[in-house]
Amino acid sequence: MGGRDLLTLVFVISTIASSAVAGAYTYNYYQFYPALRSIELKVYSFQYNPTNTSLNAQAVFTIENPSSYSGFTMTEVLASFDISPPGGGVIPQGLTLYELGHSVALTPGKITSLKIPFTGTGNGPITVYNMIQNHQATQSQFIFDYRVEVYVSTFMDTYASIIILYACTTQGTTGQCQQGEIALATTGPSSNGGGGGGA
Amino acid sequence: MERSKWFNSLVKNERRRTIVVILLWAGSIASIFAQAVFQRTTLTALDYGLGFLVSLAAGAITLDIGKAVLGYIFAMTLALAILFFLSIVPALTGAIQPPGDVFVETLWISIIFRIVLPFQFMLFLVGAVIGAIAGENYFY
Repeated sequence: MGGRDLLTLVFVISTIASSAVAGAYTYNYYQFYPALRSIELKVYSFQYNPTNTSLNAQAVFTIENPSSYSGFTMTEVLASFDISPPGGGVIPQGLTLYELGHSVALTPGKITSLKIPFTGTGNGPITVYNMIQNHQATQSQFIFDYRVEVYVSTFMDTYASIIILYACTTQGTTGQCQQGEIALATTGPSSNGGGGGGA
Repeated sequence: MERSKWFNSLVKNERRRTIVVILLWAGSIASIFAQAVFQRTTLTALDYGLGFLVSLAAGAITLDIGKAVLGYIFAMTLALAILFFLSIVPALTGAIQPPGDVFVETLWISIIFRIVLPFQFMLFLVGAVIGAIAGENYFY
């Protein structure tokens, strides 16, 4: 066996070895999209104590990555909500940026709490307060509909940012969330940042 | 050292050896790219170095600059096709719902071309040419 044969043999062995390593990472990549889809946001508790200037509300959400994929980090949470009084109609209350303080790794199986306070905006607080004071409605009859956007940092950050959208509803002290779209937007250095799609 | 039967069948004649080398070359490049992009979507200096070494070795085995350049083009084309296919499997299998599947396919085309062109493509080509020159000198 000459030097050329030996080099060919080394080439065969190194290709097999590198393919095995790449196979492991490829398998991990295939867990990525289902894992993203499985991230759960739940309403843990909700309470509010309205005055004529503030709703004094606090919603506690929990977020969990139930999959075995590690590599997600929550960087930002944006929430907006509307109030539906019992008589009908909707009182929009705008956006609330929840400050995480620092990025939070969505470690598999670990539950992270998000305590989001809401004061309410515009005539929202006084409308709710007056209806309760005038016995037109009880506190538990108001429905709060949230749209929560969770910004997730992943291995694709250089080229695409990922936002998971949830629609949540609370009434009384309980509620539930449903995952909506997963938005992907291009963030590459030469992109215009306009691309996007739901996954 | 005696050649084993299976190895002998791989390099039975020059044409077969060339085909085998191109296939291995494509597999190696695809593997280097796959482990990099599925971890962080970018190549590190180590990945560049490994790709260069692979091309150097493949070029040396081909023993001919012309063959090395053509072989590299075939191998790179095949490697990128493999990488693209691997990256869009979730879109093809329904793990990503429309219209996200189309977006993911477009995104991966963009990622793959950005990591390959132009620097990395040229670097590996230079490796293949240097390898072929070295092979001509040492193995002939």
